[in-house]
Amino acid sequence: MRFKKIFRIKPDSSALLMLIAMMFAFSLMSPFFLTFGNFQIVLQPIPEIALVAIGVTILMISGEFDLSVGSVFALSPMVMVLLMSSGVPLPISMIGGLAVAALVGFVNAAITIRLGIPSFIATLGMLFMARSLTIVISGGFPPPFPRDLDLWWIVGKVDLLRVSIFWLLGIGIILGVWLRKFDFGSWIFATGGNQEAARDMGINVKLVKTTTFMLCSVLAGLAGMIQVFRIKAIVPSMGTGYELTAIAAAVIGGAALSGGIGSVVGAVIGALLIAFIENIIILTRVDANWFRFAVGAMIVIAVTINKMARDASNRSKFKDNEDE
Amino acid sequence: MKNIIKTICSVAVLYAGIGATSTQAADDYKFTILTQTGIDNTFWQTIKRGMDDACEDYQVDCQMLFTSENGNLQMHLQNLETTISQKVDGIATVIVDDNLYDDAITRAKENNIPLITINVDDTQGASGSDRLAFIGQNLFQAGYEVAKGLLAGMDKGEQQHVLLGLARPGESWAEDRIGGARKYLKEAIADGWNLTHETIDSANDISVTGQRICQYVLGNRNTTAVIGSAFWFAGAGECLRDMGIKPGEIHMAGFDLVPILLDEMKLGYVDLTVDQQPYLQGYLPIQQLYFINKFGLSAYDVNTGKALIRPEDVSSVEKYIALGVR
Repeated sequence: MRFKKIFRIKPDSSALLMLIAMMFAFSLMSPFFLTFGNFQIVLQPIPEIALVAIGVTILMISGEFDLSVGSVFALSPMVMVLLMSSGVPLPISMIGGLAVAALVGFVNAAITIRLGIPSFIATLGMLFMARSLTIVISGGFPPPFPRDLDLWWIVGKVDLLRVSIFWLLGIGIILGVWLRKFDFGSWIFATGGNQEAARDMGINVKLVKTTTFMLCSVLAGLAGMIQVFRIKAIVPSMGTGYELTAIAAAVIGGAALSGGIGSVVGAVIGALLIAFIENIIILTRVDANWFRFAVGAMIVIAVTINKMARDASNRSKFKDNEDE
Repeated sequence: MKNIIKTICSVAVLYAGIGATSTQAADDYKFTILTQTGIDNTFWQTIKRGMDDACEDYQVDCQMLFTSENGNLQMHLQNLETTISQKVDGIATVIVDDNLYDDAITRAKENNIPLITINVDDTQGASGSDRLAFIGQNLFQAGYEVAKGLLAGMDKGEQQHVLLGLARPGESWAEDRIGGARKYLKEAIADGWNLTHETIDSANDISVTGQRICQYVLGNRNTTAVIGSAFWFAGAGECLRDMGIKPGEIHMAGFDLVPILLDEMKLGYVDLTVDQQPYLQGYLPIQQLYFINKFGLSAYDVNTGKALIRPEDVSSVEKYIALGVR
């Protein structure tokens, strides 16, 4: 009974259980899975995709989508690197790149809210425009990334981990607390759950959505910068397809496509789950032609199990209510 | 009013799906180059630079058509059919599927539109379609040469395990290159090399490809070499260092010249790459199409390169990369 109650209160609890179960199963499938070296490799890109997934999740909670995050993932660091190559100091270049990301989020919000275009369409357009801008501003030939920069504070190695994982933890905790403990967080849930009711309650729905759109873009831009710092190179195609991975991570983590449900922890768990699924497929030497099938099948299985767990807990809730 | 704005936005979104860049000129000739990749492909920007320069030199009107995302063959075919219906004076395109484009290419021939393939050809060559000529790399041969060049720097007496990274399974350019590499590895085994090899879907993203290669190496510690089907494998350098693997412990080789690949060469993690000179793949088709239209000359095949670039060559090619021509 207690577990069922936890499932009802926390949408990410079934994803967490599934992550633990899958890690156990994967450890039986490959002796390399639960090793220091494997975790070191798998965890390296996690902050990048998890930050994007957190932004997408919060936006989904408010009832909207953003398909442009993969393009912003490239545009924002491209602006940063171009500023750096023209002599602008790194911190100001980063602020410049993040400001562009925020602007993209603002435009997404304006098109969606002011013009009444569904965010799915508005951000699909932005996906193409932002990617195109990435090429245009670099002239097709991005400058080389300066390898001699001291980037320990953001991607330095700390034994098993990179410093970026602590940035993810810090940002995740701040946003998690913001969502759960502050009024604005409640407004986000209320807006996504029932927009009309939220408006009737006096919540500034436009402000809520604009904020979540901008936050989503800024997190995507920051994630792109972290990847550039880690691999010490920038290519205009980076982040392609990340929008779908981020949405998949959000849904696996318990976010509802209809809005009003989701959590920061769930987004991180979803990102971890997808990374581990890819990892075990490589470790078990799945044939190249079957690779994407295997990844896709595992994701569908993960989401299905998650949904079944939640449906079961909801049924027990109704039963409990009837008994009372 | 709201509906009108919605309609305009929807149409704009639809058109945003097709990335098109054009160079306007005074001459009457109109040429189009088509590819199945998106505009974010750095390699294709060098081809575009070649096209732009040729179009300026010969004063013709040129357009390059990308697809909205990499590998969208249906959109590529649609762009090709639209271009043929516009009755342009010449077309250069890739053929990344042996059957998909056959009807369209035949239609171009029936409409007297000269069509040259660039970068990727039908695997059957001239007998596979009605194209006039191919300008690009012999992909299968290049893959063969990469494997040969890589093994030349390895010890025949030792047990070797080679990972082959197939960036886009099912696309002929990647399959051809890896197929060529695989052929040489099989010959090497027959020649007495104690060698095994395996192919994975390595993806076409520097970060993802790097991760997949490192995860594979971790699970298969006997891996001694990696052959990538493009340049994305260079992303593995960073995580190989994290794993404590020293330069030379795992030999890597692949294709094309991009800054991260050259950086990894300098650091000792990439042994060689093949330069297929994309600038020529943009410049030469325009030149040929111009001569065909202006003087009735014939199209001719050009192998733009199987030159192996090694670490000692890096300094000499970097200045040309900065110019966007290599």
